Amino acid sequence: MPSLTTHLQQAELNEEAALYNRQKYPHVAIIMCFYAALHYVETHAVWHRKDIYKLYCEEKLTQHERYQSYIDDINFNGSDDLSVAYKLLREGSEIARYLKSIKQSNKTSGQYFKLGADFYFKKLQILKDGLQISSIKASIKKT
Amino acid sequence: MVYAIRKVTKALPKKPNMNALHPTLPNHDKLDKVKEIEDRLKNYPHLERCFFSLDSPIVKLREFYSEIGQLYGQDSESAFKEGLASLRKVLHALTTLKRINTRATRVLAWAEVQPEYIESIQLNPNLISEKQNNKFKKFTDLIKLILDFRPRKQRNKLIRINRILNKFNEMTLESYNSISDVVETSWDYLPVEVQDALHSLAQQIILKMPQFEQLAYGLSEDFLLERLNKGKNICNRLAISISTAAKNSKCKNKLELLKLLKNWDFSNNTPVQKSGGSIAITEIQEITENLAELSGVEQVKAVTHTPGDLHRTTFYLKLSVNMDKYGGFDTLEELFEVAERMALRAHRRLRESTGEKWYFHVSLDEDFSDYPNSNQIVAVAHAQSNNPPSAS
Repeated sequence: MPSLTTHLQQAELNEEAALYNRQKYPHVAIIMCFYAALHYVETHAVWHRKDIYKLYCEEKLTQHERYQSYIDDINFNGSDDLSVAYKLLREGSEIARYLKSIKQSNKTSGQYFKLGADFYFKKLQILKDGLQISSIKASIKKT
Repeated sequence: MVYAIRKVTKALPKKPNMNALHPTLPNHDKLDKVKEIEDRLKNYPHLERCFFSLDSPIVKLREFYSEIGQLYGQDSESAFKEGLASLRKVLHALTTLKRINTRATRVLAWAEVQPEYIESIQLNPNLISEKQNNKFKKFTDLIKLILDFRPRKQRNKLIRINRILNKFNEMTLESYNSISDVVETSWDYLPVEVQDALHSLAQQIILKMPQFEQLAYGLSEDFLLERLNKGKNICNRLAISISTAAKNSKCKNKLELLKLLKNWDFSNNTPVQKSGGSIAITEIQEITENLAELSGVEQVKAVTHTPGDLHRTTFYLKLSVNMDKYGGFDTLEELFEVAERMALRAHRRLRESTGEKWYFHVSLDEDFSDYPNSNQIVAVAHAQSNNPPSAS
């Protein structure tokens, strides 16, 4: 199982890739935002000594569904923002990759996301705040 | 129809052209089907709890009534309730008619062995020949005898027969009215087997309508004519309402209820009794309806992750086609976020009220028509027709 720092580094690497593609390929940026989010979720879990797979292994779920369940189970100050952010990032990446739900518009995801990926960057930030990634990062640096 | 004549002891016209009818019923095979539906619906309380088993009829029933609701601008729950209420009302009326029919036959059998009856036959040789010629049914004979008979003794017995027949008459007319009420308001809500039975009933009634004229010809007393006219009007109303309703039917899909219930083996399907299940299903139905009301959403299907367990339910949204704008939303993301928050609010409410973990989410789906696992669909809702048309 990758270590805490590996997940964090991978998340940051993906976020960098998202930023890199932000203007020219917003659909790629959205996909990378989602993969950054996924590793931030793993970072949070490992930091709290939790194994997401083991937490939900009794149910027949995909790993993506396990991540979503983990997010749902973190009570984020009684708010749904965290769950919404993660779900939207996942759905956005599926639109970007598979044209999910936009097939009938006859557009590529590049054309579809012509307004940019800002919406998804905001959601990624909400997720990072909710998972307290900066404080985890600060704690790692101290140790 | 049963025509009971009150006060038979009064002076009545000699040899009136009286022809009374049994309560008119649909054809045997049609009535049998209705009876079978009724029997199977006795398991309904059990059925209602079986949301999850393979091909549960309740899911299909709800799906049908969701479509009906859409057609008549009703939410699917109200349509479902109206459908079941209408069905039960018609079944009750048809059962009552059948019961009256059986009882009337029994009354006749009893009357036949009474001395008055035998005496009357002896007094009316014409009747004997008519009977021999099998021109009249037994019941007709009985009414004739009651009218013709001038009781000198044991009149109480005839009064008793008459009272029973009167009661039968009232119940028959009441049942006809009750059926007409349903037919006029909720024809499309009825399953096809019941519609067939009602068609058959209407045909039988139309065939017997000329007999009212014959009856009226033989009667001179106002109260009898009034009673006869009332019966005639009620029969007319029923026959007309059935043919009009069938002609004006808006619904193309028919509910084949018997087929649906026949495929359902109650013995092999025990209801899944997960804790919080009943609160959850109400919550799920509510979200499904609410999501379908969102501008830009055409249809919603609530699908459980595992048959028999509502804890993980996904609400699949079918969006209106060819939209650049998503209903009232500028982007798909905006619409999706609103929908997702609705689902999450409900799952949070359930978590608080049951202390269990619920996971409700929304998903967008274009290939909506066919889910391989229909046993996982727990609720369906269509957008109401008053949604703003989608921008092209």
